[in-house]
Amino acid sequence: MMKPKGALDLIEEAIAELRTAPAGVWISYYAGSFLFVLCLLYFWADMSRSAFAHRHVAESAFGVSLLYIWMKCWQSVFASRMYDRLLPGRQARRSASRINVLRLILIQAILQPYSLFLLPLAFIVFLPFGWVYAHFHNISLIGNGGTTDVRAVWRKSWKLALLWPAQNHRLILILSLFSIVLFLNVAVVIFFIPQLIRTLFGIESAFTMSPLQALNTTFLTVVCGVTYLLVNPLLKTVYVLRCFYGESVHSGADLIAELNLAPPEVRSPADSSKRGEVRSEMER
Amino acid sequence: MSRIDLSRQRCLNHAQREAVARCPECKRYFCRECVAEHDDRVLCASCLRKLLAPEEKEKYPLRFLLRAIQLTCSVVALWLFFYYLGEILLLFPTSFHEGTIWEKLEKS
Repeated sequence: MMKPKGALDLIEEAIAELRTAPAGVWISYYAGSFLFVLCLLYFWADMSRSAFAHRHVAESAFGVSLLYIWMKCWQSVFASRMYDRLLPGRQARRSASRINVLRLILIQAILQPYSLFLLPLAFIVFLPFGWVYAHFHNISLIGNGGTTDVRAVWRKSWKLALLWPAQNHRLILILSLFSIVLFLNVAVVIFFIPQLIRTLFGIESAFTMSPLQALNTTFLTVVCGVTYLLVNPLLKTVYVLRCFYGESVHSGADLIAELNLAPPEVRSPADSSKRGEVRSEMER
Repeated sequence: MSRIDLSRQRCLNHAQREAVARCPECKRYFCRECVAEHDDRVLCASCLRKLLAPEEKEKYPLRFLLRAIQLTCSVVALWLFFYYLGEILLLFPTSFHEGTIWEKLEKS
C-alpha cells in the first residue's frame, strides 16, 4: 500500500486545484448550494418569525427538501469536474462523457438524505464520525451518474472512506478548526457592518442600538450558511483528492497524470504501449 | 511483489508461457496474448468481459420499482427532517428567535 499524503499537503493541493479551477466549475457548485442556503435561511426566518408559519410548514419543508437534492446534484457535478481535472487527458474526456444526469439525480436523491440522520448520529456516538463524514463526501463523487447501482456506489464510497483513517481524521480536525475561525470572522464582519454604516452614514439599526440583537437565531443561521458556502468547496475538493489517490492505488492514474506533466524526453519511454507495464509494476 | 517474482510466474491459461502482466482486477498472472488494454489498464479477458457486460437489467426485472421505492423513502425521510426542523423552530418563543430574551434576562 502506498504511503498516504499528509493532511496539510492534501489541503494545500486542494487549494491549488480550487485556485486554478475555471469559472464553470465554481458556477456548478454555487448554482446548487447558494440557492439552497438562501431558501434554508428564508425557511428558518419564516418558521421563527411568521405568525402563520404553522399553516404551511409541510409545503415549505417539501420545497427545502427538493432544493437539498438540487444542491447535492450540483455538488456531485462539481466533484466530478474537479476529479476530471486530475485525470490524464484521454481518461478525463471519457469520464466526463459518462455523466448521466438522470442517474446522477437518482443516486444523489436516494443516498444523500441519509447523511442528515447518520452524520448527527455518528457524531453523538463519536467514533465512526470520520468514516461516515468521508463516506457522504465520497458519494458526491462516486454517485455522479456512472451507474444506477445504489449498492455499488454505497460500497465503493465506503471502501474509499475506510482508506487512510489517520489522514482523514487529521483533515477533519484541521478543517473543523479552520471552519470555527472562519465562522468567527464572518460573524465579526456581519456584526460590524451596521456599526460601520452608522459611523459613515449615521444610519441606526437594531444591531447598533442593542448589540445583544446579534444573538437572534437568523443572524447565527446566516453566519453558518456563509461559512458553509466558503468551506464546503474546499472540503469537497479534499475528498475528491482522497478518492483520486485512493483509486490510484489500483489504477495508477496519479502516475499517468504525473507522467503527462513531465517533459517529452522523460515521457517518451512511457508511451501507451508501456503504460500497462508501469501500472502492473505499481500493482505489485 | 518484486520484478523477479513476475518473471517466475506462468500464464494462468498457458502454463508453458511466462507471465508478462498481472490483471489488476483478479490479481492473476497472464501472458501477452491473454491480456488487453482497456480504460488505460491491462486486464485479462474474463475481467474485461465482466467489466463490459451490460448492467444487470435481466437479473432484476423489478429494479425500476425498487429504485422508485428507494427514492420515495429518501424523499419522505428528507421531508420529515425539514418538517420537524420547522416544527421545532415553531416551538421556541419569538423573543428567543429575535434575541430579545437575552435583553430581558440582562435587565432582570
